Amino acid sequence: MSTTERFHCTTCPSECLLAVEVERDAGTALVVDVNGNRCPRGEAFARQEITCPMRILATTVPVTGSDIELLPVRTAEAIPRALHADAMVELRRLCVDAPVRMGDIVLPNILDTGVDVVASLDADEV
Amino acid sequence: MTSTIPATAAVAHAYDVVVIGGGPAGMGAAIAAQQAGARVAIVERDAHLGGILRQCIHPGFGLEHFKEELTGPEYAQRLINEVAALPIDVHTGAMVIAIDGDADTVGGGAHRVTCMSEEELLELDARAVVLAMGCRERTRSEIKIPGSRPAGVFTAGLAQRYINIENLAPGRRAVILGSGDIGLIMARRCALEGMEVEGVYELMPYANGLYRNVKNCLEDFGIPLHLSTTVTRIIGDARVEAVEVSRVDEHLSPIPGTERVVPCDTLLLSVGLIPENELSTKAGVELDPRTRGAKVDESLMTSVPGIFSCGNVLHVHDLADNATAEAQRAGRAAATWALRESDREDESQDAIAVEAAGLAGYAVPSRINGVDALVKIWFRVRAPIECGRIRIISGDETLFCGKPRAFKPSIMESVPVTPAMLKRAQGRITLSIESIEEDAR
Repeated sequence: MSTTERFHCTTCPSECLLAVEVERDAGTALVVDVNGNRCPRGEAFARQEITCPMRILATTVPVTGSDIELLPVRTAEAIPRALHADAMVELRRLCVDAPVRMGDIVLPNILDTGVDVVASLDADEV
Repeated sequence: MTSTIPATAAVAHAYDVVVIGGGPAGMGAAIAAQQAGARVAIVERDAHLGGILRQCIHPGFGLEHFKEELTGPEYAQRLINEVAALPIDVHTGAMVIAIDGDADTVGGGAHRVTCMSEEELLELDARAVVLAMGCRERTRSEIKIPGSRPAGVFTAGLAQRYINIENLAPGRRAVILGSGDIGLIMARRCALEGMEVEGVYELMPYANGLYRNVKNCLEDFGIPLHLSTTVTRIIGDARVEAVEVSRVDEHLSPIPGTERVVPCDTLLLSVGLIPENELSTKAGVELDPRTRGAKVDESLMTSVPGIFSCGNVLHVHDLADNATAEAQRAGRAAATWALRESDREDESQDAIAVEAAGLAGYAVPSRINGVDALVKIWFRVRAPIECGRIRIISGDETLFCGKPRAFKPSIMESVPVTPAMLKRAQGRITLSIESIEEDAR
């Protein structure tokens, strides 16, 4: 028995309203059909969103020896949304030293996702 | 420092183009002006370039300008790196206090930008000035919430600065008023940082922010969005203890009997942005009451020759990418103006006035001087429309009629006006957004 779930694609500013036909059975979800997307990225997004929603996590970590107090950081790629709370716990323990350049890895392979946490901004040494 | 600086201590510099503001608009304008051959300076009051992007740590930026999804700081850093690679003078920690403040000393069609830093008074002579100061948040006093005046009421952007720049927690349990993008982003940010977010309340019957933010910032965190509901009272002595919320009717008036008291220690306001134009008006720049930004022509020149405006100080953009793109146009136009060979004004053909009508909340530019090139008119609708269309009218003639489609107030859009249409215009064109259902009734 399939149901239609409706949500917006968040891949780009067009925000297509997707109608996703899903068969759910004992904890598994099977995407039968995706409509409403105006490009192939919408279909890929819908399938991912139904099976395992992925998000980029962005937060800040303290930085010492710089003229800024907090360094904005992000996961280099999206990681499973379900891991964000645990990832925040990991990142709360972190403190980095200046200098840092945008793109520098501040925490490799967070929670064994294979994804690094990287600096979003330069922190110059003072 | 306590000593006053005598006027003679002012340090003078001369540039073709001085850009006021070092955010996504200011840097975009400066880069474009420099690449067009101008000697350029940026004046930024913060210690660093980047503007408000430095505190917008979330992703969602850059898809247009850099063709990949970046966080705000990454978007800023890329522009900072571009600026650093060019011969652009950057005056950070310097605040512009006047443009052409002492009109007697300014001559030859040039402008003088007076700035103050902790160390010195700077006088920058500029053949052209680009305004890129961004905007400011509307506050409690502008929406007139009754009640006491305790601590704990913040604009959403101020709370964002506390959390993301200053390492301060605004409170423990927050209520957010307004579903604009900053309010939604802050709901998520507070939740991630361990604050409890009781809910987001929105006066209008629809969410004001982008769908992506409703989805990623509220739905992901199970934060409820209460539409057609507003804060009608703030309760608390020294600190916010609760807010009273009420449902509103179709005229947006609170409905008696629907009051509910929500305990919280923090109220975040995300209730709109206002272009920061005090400097502009003091320099004689005429504002559009609809955008509260400057009235500009198609080259983004204001009513004062040689002063240009772009980004959020001109009209509020929803994407930094759009602000940068607009700023690049302003930067190129400012360079062209600064480097032109004669001071003679353009042979004056009468400008075509541009007006907004129907559900179009505003139109930028507000005048068009040339009829030989395609001009984009930017606008935003005042309310969501399921099915509407764009119509461009001059006198009794419809110059353009768009295909029926949906329009959203959260999205700024543009419509091209061709030279053929401009040549048929009679001194004035009107951009109207019409709801098609209403016509049929």
